[in-house]
Amino acid sequence: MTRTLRGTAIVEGEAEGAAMVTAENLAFSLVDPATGIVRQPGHPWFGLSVAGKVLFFPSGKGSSSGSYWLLNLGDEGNAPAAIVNTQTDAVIIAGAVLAGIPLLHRVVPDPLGCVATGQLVRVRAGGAIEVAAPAAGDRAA
Amino acid sequence: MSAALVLDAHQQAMLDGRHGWPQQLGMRMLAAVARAFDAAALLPVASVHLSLSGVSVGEPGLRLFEALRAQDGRFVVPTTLNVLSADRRSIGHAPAAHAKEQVQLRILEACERMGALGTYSCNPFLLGCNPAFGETVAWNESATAPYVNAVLGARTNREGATALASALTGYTAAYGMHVDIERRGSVLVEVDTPVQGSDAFAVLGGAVARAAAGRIPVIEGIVARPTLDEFTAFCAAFATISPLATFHMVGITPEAPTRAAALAGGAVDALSITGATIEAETARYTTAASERLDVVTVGCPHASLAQVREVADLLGSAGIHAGTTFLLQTNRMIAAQAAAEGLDRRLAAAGVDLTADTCVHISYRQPPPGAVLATNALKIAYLTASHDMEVRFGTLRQCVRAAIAGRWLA
Repeated sequence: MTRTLRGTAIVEGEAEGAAMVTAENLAFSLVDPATGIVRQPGHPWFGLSVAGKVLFFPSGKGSSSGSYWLLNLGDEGNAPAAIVNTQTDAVIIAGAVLAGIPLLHRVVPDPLGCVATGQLVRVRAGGAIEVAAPAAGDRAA
Repeated sequence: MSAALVLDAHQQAMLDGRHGWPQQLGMRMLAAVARAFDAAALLPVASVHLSLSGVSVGEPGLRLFEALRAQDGRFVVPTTLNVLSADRRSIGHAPAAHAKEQVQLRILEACERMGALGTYSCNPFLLGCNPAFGETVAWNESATAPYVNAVLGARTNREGATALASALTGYTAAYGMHVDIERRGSVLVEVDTPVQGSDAFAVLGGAVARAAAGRIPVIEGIVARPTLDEFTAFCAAFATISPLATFHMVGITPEAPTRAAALAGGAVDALSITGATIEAETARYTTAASERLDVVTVGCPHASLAQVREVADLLGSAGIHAGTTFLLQTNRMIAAQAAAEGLDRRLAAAGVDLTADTCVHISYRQPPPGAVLATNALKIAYLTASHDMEVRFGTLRQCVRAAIAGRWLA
């Protein structure tokens, strides 16, 4: 079973990866480009890597240098596969344009309520997001 | 929903690449931002303040800036520059950081060759760079946005690399702080405790941002107009804790002659900042458990001449403890002023490292992991928690006393 969510594509592109989902805003200036690991104090993803993941979070936060940190993450091979925001912001948009990372927002239904961390997600052109149903046993993990 | 973005012929030509790749890349960023915020148009900007620190821009950013320059990219509006990852006056003199400092040097040279002014400061207001009331600008460095919007009544969003796009094209997307109604306040904040001095205003900025929780605060209870130093301390702290780009102080900031003028209308919550709120806000940034102290940093935002003098006065005839590094951060103009009145020699003799152009958060010169850093800057205290360091957050007076003693004093 695959469920399709629809949003607005701000930076077009196709991508696939495991979902990471949080209701906390993310500061890309506090993500280490060399490892992809989040260093933002108190963030639920603190210590986790965003490399290759499809990130679901409400919006950006913190330093306006975040655009270049996204570019750096991309250059080090640790960029997220795609970014899905509730309402994205200019820091993330500019970074996504520079790094070529697909970026969507205003997705219905709200992915923060219906996508779980670890689920396989495909971002399609035009703002569609396909979410694979969790395999049996995944929920217990 | 607003109408879709409409570009004029010149803007469309830039987006189509008919004026070269640098302006096309800039327009792609701006068009994406406009789409994301339902902006119907782009607005001409009067100035840009641009981030270019080597630590945040990095080598991929260096390649970007040099490619823009190589393909005849030009900054088409007056553009000032934010802090560097090294003191430009001494680049090349510290061999350990040599390679990285060359990255910084090449980034700033690319920016200057595209037409930027070498201010290298997070606090360009000290240099007289003050956008006029009602002016549309695109300013990078989140700490500057509340000052530009609230204190000056000019208009900027919190820009990322979009400031680079604005410098290359001369435009920004008409959304957020460029829209009248989005500048209005949506929560009342009554300050019920006396606030005076830059240190107190920094803590107030954090406390107000935290209490307002994403709503533009309309602040009452500030009895006297804050000084430039008090305002910049407040704004940097406010922007550290809040994602917002503005606030209002009734009877003080230009878009808040009255409470009613500052508010968007309708019923709003009223919150109160008390002495207890300020104490709690102060306490939350200290993570160090022992009295150990390795580094003291002041000058975030970059110190004014008055603040440089204050450090010298607080030191008196005392010197910094041999085991402690004291960084006093400012811009090159203030550093030159300090030198002109002999303060630089006095501070150097006392063991103070007076730096220009840079800042401990963004410098290539980082204290070692596990170091304990004391500061009177809420922004540095907050950000240092991401650097594997422990933090002591206190007043300038406490920081200087501790630096003399070599340990934090209760």
